[in-house]
Amino acid sequence: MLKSLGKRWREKTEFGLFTLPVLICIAVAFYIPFAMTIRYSMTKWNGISKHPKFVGLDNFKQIFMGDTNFANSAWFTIKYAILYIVLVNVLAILLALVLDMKLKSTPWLRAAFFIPYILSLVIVGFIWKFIFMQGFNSLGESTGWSIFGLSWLGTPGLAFVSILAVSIWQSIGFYLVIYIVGLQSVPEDLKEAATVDGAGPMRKFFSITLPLLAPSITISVFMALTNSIKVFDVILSLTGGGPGGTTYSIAYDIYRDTFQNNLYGYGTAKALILFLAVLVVTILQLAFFKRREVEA
Amino acid sequence: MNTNRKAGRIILEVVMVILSLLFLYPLFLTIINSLKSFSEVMTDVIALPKHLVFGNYSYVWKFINYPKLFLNNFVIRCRSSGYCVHFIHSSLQAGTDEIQTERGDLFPLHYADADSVPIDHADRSANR
Repeated sequence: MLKSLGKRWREKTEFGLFTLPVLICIAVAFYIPFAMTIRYSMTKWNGISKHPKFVGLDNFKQIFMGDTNFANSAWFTIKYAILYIVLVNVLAILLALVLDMKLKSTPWLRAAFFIPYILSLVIVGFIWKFIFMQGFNSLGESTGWSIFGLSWLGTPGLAFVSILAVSIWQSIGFYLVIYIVGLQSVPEDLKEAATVDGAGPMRKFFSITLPLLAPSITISVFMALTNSIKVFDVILSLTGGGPGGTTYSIAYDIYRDTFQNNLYGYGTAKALILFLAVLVVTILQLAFFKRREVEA
Repeated sequence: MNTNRKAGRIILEVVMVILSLLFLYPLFLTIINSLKSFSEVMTDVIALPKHLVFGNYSYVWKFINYPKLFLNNFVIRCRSSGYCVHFIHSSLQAGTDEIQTERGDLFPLHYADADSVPIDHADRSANR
């Protein structure tokens, strides 16, 4: 009895010793800064002074009561997130279906659609800025099409579309890869059985392929959700929040308040709200999508 | 029926290849323009360069200290929490394997976590 208790105790300490370095690393890199963030979110601090002034929940009150910048950027982010999630997933599934048909050019197509993903978003933003401004100018002159004459970064609605299009262009390869893997794991015999039962290609897709693709959809929507709520670098390099401050996302709004207006306390409060929002939304999304998954 | 289907596949293939070329056109444009002189870029963006100019590359190479920057990247990568945690994690994995065999449900998050770190890392480095 005593011996087994001693053994268990020894195991526990051994286990604790092995996990200790990781716990220290995670604490230093994550938990301690996080606790400090919570403290700073309740202070009025300019990031330089040594004595942040404690103001309680005033920052949060101000954010929710009278911050039009935050409300506007939140609305922008919600719009962007919904459109991005839907479009990137639908397009990636469609592309994956084509790439799963064993065409001769499949290796080239896969590489082609994945290449933008290896570029950094800041550089992608600069490339597209160049194309939207100078490139579209020349294209418009040589083709005469009026879409190239529009001011793609200069009007609020079109700037939103540009940001959406550029981020989809950059990241579709990633979702494509997830869906290709998902499609390859859909068993061939089920599709054959459906064909024998007289199902057409559409029926086969909606009744067999799509339900069995649910795990891939869950992970893709999850990634798209977290990435689109945190959207920052592409806006920074493409429009810089313009025209007229209409394309600020929440992350960019936090950046502006914290590092440009030097409101560190206020910015951290906003960041904390964003963190909680992302947490709640992703938990809800995962719970909802997990429930709909089926086994083959 | 069969030839019809074959023709459809070939058409689809051609359409997809054209689509992928259009998809990559911004990158081609960037590469083409990097080989032009500044005045040529300003007059016509989509034209091919009249004569290749490598001046842009030598200019950038001279004014941006690439070896130093790559070293910086490397150092930051190695020191950043991700790799640190991952490294300790994998060494930990070797250490706890024997305990794991004794107690099945030792640390359910353990494997998931060790997997997620490099993925998260690759994702982040791709986005920066």
